Amino acid sequence: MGNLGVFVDRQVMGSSEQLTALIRLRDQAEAMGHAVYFIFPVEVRKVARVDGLFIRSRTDPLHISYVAAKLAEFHGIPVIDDPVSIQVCSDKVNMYLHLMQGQVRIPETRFLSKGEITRAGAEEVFASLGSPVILKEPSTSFSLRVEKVETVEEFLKVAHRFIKLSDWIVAQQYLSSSYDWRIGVLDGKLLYAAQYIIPSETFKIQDTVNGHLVYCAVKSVPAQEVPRPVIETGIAAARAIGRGLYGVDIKVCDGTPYVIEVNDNPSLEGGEDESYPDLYRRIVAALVGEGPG
Amino acid sequence: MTKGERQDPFTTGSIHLRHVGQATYVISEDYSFKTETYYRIVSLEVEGKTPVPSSRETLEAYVVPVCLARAHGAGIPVLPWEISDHQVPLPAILYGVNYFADPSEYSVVRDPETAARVVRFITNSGKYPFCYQAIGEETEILLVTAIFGRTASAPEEVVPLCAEIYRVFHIPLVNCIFGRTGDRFALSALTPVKYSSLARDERAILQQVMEEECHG
Repeated sequence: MGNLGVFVDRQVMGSSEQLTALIRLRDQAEAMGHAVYFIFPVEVRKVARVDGLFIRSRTDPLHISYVAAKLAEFHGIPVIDDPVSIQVCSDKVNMYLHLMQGQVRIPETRFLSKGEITRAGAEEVFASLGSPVILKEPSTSFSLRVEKVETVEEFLKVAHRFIKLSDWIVAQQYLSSSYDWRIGVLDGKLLYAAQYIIPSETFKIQDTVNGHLVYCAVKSVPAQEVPRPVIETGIAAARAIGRGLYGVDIKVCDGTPYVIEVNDNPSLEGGEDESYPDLYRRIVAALVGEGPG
Repeated sequence: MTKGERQDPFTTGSIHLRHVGQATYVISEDYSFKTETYYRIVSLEVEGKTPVPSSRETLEAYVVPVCLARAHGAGIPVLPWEISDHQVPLPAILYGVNYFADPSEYSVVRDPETAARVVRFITNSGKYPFCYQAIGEETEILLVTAIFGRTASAPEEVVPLCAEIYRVFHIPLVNCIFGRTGDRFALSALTPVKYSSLARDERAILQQVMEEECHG
């Protein structure tokens, strides 16, 4: 029997969907003979006492979740998300550099530094990437600070806003689709697959439209119904980052899959596991073993 | 500039690369996450090169609780630290732990009113946790600039600590914040250094190391 720590924060515990997912994880771990302890930020030192740590909190190298991951690493405790995955996936520049290095297909992508945020620079980006262009501030999550721009003026307005938060920003070719594939990968193997159906009011899986939050619909899809190239692309993208748990977003355009991003700490509360009843068992097993069951 | 006088290469924002063996030493004022320097380091790593410091080391250095846990594990004396979301014993040194936190912006609080005001600020009114380090009434804060682990005018007790900090974190240019209680020194945080803040003898060390071997 092992002790599984689940690092959470108030925001996570305040969401009924996320709380339900955590309870299912706890029930699964207990059914496998393990004890589960929820660890809050002020208790981060308790990380040293568990046998495996599952982080369910916003991840960023400057957030307390990174402290939890590093403490686990320092104590030799298996952790999802591990510090390297947080560092790479929480920074789209780093993430895309890893995908490029791993020869994973992504939309045409440029990294822009402060000196390139000029009218001439914007015109050059439109000339090379077409219009519209997607601009991303590297630390964006939940599609925040991801904007579609169609004119030089829009480009400059958004880019100047983003460059205040990061010395490099991302400009990317726009690819249109009515849904994204979300390929869940654990330890380099397929964990689940789902379609994230993009709301008609936006081009993102989550957005604020006229002051209202709109979310994508989630449709869990059995592995045998997912195009093979999509699964292979998802696994290749995850392996370009590491061996942890990732949710890889993929758009298929003209039959070709393109990785839009690799998420550490992927959502599990949207029904992603509907076609994958062993999803939580596999996560628990990766952290604290199969247990006596 | 008069004839024969060399131009100062350490202008604000400048980044200097020195290749020594397999390593590429990256000398900069600021190694913080998502800075130009950070991205130069990440790019070198993705190309398969060995930058000093690594991007992992820069994060370990500048995220205060991680820095102290890493330093403690390496045997460097550190101030005792805890994470809180509102309460703090007094007196204490406070650091934010969030996206907007800068380890240079620490606060020493000695009374409840100041503590409450600082906590409200660094937690964004309770949104984020923070790191505190309880100190004694007599504890003083000392800032020492370390250049490849070397110092120009630090107390002698701190000199080996700065060398050890460089051995662990490999940050060529870093400010080391210590808590000094009597003749005991304990690390509080590592923070960026502005070239403009370097004293003449510190600048001379940096110039010498850059010209010689970058090993510190």
